[in-house]
Amino acid sequence: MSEVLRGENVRVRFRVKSTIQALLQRVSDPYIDAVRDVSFSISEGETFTLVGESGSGKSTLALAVAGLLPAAEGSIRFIGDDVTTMNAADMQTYRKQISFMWQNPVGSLSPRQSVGALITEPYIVHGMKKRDLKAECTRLLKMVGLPDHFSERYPHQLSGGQARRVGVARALALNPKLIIADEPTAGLDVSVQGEILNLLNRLQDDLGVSMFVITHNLNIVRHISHQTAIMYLGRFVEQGPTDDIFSEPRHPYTLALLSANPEPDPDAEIGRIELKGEVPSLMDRPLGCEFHTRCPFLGDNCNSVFPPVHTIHDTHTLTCHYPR
Amino acid sequence: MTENVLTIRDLSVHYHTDRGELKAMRHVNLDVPKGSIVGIVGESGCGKSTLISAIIRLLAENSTIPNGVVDFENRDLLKLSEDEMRAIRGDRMSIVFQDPMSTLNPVLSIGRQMVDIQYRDKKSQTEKIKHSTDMLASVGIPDPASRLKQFPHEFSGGMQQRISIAMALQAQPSLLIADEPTTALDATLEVQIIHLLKALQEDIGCSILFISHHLGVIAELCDYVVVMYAGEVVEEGTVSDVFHRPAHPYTEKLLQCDPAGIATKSRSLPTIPGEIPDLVTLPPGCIFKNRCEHVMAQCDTEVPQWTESTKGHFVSCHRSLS
Repeated sequence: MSEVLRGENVRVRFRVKSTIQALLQRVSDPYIDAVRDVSFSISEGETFTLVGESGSGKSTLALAVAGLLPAAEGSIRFIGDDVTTMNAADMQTYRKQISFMWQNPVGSLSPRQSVGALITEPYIVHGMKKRDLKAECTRLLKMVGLPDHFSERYPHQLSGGQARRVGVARALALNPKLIIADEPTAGLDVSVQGEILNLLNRLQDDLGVSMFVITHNLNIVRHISHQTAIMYLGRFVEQGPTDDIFSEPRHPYTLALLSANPEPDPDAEIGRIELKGEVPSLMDRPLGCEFHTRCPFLGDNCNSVFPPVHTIHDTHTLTCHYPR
Repeated sequence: MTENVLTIRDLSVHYHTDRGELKAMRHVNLDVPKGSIVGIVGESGCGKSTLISAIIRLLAENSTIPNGVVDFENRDLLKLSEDEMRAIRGDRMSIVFQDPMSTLNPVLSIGRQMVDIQYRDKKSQTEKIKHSTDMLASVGIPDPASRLKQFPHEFSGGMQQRISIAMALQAQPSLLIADEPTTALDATLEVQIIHLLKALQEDIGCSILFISHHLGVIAELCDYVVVMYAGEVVEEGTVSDVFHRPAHPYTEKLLQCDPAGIATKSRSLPTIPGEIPDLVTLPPGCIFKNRCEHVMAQCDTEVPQWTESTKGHFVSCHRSLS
């Protein structure tokens, strides 16, 4: 399988103090690293899932992949071309081949445009006005399982699940090679959530599109994803094939996340690993292992030495002094 | 038989809309026994929010209550005057909302807000501050005395929700309504908040009405569960009865749909086909019939009766009777 996207040592920084503030407060580094040294690779027709809590840098990385935020270091290659150094014209071509599904299904649709106009907007933006937009609209609505008369509707007339389908149709319009989906099921009911995930899975099987999915819902990851990365404070603490992550989680944070999922069974045995405290601030990263302030399995050098990378079965890696 | 803190009988709420009367909630029965946690599950549009608003009497202007009784500590809330109702809200009955950031006032310090809501108590300022500090400590906020001076934006989401809970419990209410309090939080924080609620409930001895669409959370936290669909309560019982022996087809489906319950990898997840019926022009018969797998001739014409299928386990479905 050919590789569609490869990120190497990607780092995304935000300035949090002005030059003068930094000088006056004697801060040597006026930046925070929202994403730090992450590497990943997505093959054709595969889904890569990024899991982490709010503020862990998931969306920042997605924006950097889409070329909407500059990467401070590292490279993001899309079929060989480095996104971080593209000029404006190349960027335009690149964006024709990827598409973004935003988190809020209704909020990401303009309230003043009809569904038909929204779905065909990508053609207009990318200068393909000559196409038969009406026919394209019918084709796309059919693909996502909405009846044809929906093209006349406006976003406020749609339910959450329908709005999400419109978002999927919009993302599919230009036949992209990669779809970036930020929390595709957030805010949807469980029954509707299943419909959307089935739709994404089916489209991937039919069209061979690759997907970069962001979520904090571990329950759905197992069913949609091939590769998974667990993110904490802007770093991947554990990554590898999804099946391995679920069957053999080794990093304490992954274990805690997996066990934090309440099961719909009142008598379920809860072997829960509970985390103490709150996520540390990016302004003040802990020394040593960055997870040590919340880790239940604290060892000797966790608070002083940055942990080494362990590799299991070639593809499953994690950063921890004492993997479980 | 334990006494109920809250008893709702045959409660309906309608909204006037341009299209006609929208029957958002119909003939709802609900019991909250003293010292227990009752969960309400249901998908969007099932009437969960309407039910809470009806209990605390904060319904929208275009609503009417054609019938029903909301009995809280042996008083019918629907018959109270606005002043009497105000004395109950925040004192005997309080609420924690979904989004902590919009619950707290962003321009006042936490301490100021916590002292302000004790306006009913005839205590000195120092005592009120002391009480606020104790409450913050009891919800697990480290160094509470100095944090009282801070503003909501200086706290993380999980901390803000803890503060909202502290404020809701400050007056030691007998009923706490929690409206999806963990939806805006991450998985690990969600677990922390559930444990906190359970510990505080045992401590204070209040009852909790817990609204959520997360089945796992309900299973872990609650004693009883109420399942709502399209404005009706379709099933009610103990958590283990409803989760292990669901009697209504909708409950059954809902449990199957939760991906947390599906351990093996599957590219095709179960769903509930079809949509919620239009609540302006209600179809005759059972409300769930258009999505039900076990639909019978009877379902088309007769509204199923609210019956006790086994002890303490109520359901409205023709199938469970036949």
